[in-house]
This record gives sequence, structure tokens and C-alpha cells, in this order.
Amino acid sequence: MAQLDSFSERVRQAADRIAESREAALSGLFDLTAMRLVRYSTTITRNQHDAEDALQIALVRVASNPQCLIHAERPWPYLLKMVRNESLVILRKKKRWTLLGNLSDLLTQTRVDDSQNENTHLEVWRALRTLPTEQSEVVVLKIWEEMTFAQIAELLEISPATAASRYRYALEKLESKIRASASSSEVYR
Amino acid sequence: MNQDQGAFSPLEQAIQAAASFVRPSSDLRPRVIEAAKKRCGQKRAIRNAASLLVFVCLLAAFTAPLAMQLADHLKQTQAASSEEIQIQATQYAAQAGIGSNWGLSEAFTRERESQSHRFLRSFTTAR
Repeated sequence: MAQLDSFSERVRQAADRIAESREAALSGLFDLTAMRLVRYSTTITRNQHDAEDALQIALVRVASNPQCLIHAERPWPYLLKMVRNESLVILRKKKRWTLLGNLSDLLTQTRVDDSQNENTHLEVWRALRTLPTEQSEVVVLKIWEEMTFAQIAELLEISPATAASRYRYALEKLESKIRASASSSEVYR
Repeated sequence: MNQDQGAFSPLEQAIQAAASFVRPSSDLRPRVIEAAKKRCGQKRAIRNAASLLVFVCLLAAFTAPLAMQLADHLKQTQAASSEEIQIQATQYAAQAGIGSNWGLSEAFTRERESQSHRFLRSFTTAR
């Protein structure tokens, strides 16, 4: 909770700088949030290129009106919601046919000391992509964004109980999918 | 399973570890900044054009009555043309039986008087 608030505060400061120095200060907000927003949007659009388009539209909107973030009660969830809305718009427009197991659109990076886990990461991403969007985004917000079910519920405009049950179902599915794909090798301990 | 405060299970840890596996493409940053500059530039241009339009409208609203008054004033104080002076000079010369030079002098004197009256009248009506 405190972590979320402190990140929200950093987002607000970045928006303040945009309001002062106009679009030149957008790079600060981009550096702070792009990676997290792209991975969140990718779970919705199921395509990184579409996710980046959604991020671009949302950040350009922030650059032209930084007050929306400055005056938001919690700027980080607000920005996540902006990107989510843009992602859903793109998703509706494109109705892209994707092979669920195909991760060729993803730009990946692995630290040298983490290279042995690359297959695990790929399996996690592949499994996440096979989940319904409403479940995968709860997983992303819960684990990657470290949000509480109450915060997730507020962002997605659902009840905390629904968020929790979606999370539970998602984990059950992920567990079976990852176990199945990693039956020959140990993916996670 | 993790609830709001609980510790992560091995599955959740595996998911958490995959968080930074995907990175934004290298051209995204300049693309976003360029698009923002373009959008903000357009917004500024529209705002400037709107301000200019408002300024021009206000200027027109304030100066139009003044310009009309000035036009009236100029019309009233406009001097007679050389042709009119020449006609008047001939008429004076014929009426008074004087030479054409004196007729011209008389025409100019009367025109100056008439001009000064018209000027005074237009000045007082303007005030």
C-alpha cells in the first residue's frame, strides 16, 4: 500500500514537471512507468505493438493535459486506468487474431544472472496469455503492481470479492498450464 | 495463496520473477515524445489562432465606430476641389465685376472660412 502510494507520488511529481516544462519533461514519466504500463497493456491486448500504441496514446494525453494526473487522488492507478481504456479501445478496433501460445511480438530481456530462468518466464507469459483478459489483468495488478484486491476492484470497477475470485481462478489455471508445459523439466519450485 | 498481506506461493514467485522479462521497444520513447510534441504544438497553435481571432474581433469592435466617425469627420472637413474653386472664382468675378485673380482670392477666402466652420461643427458634434 505504502509502496503504491510512494510510486503514485513519483508519478504525480513527474506530471508536475510536465506541467512546468511541457512535453520536454515527458521522458521522466516515460522512464518511470513505460515498462510497467507496457507489460500491463500487453496482457490486455495480447500484443506488444498494440500495447505500445495504447501507451503512446495515454502518455500523449497526459502531456497535453498533465492536470488530470496532478489532481487525481491516486495518480498511478489513474494512469493504469487510462492505459487500460486505450488498450480496450485498440482491442475492440483491431480484433486481432492471435495464436495464444505465440509470443513472437514480445521484446524480452533477461539478466545474465537470470538466464537459467528464461524458459520459466516464457512459460509464465505464455500461460498468462491463454487466460481471459479479466483474469490475467487481476494477476498482473496483484503480483506485478502489488495492489490489494480493494485497489484492483476500484481500478477495474468490480467488487473486491470478484477480484479475489478472478485471481484464485487465474492462479488455478496458471498452475495447471505451467505444470503441464513443464512436465518434462522443472519450471518452478 | 497470497491474500492481501500473505507471502507469495512458488507459482506467484515465478510470475513475479517474469515481471521484467518484457521490455518496451527501443523506438517507443522517441516515438512517444515526438507524438507528444506534435500534439502539444497543434494544441498551442489552435490556442494562439483562437486568441488572435478574439483580439481581431475586439479590435474591430472598438475601432469600427471610431473609423466611421473619422470618415464622417473627413467628409465634413473635406476641401473643395480645384474645379469647384474655379467655378466659384468665375461667379464672384462676374457678380462683383472684378478681375479673375481677385475672384479666385475671394473664392479661397470663403472656402477657408467655410472649412473652419465645418471643422468646428464636426469637432463639437464628435465631443
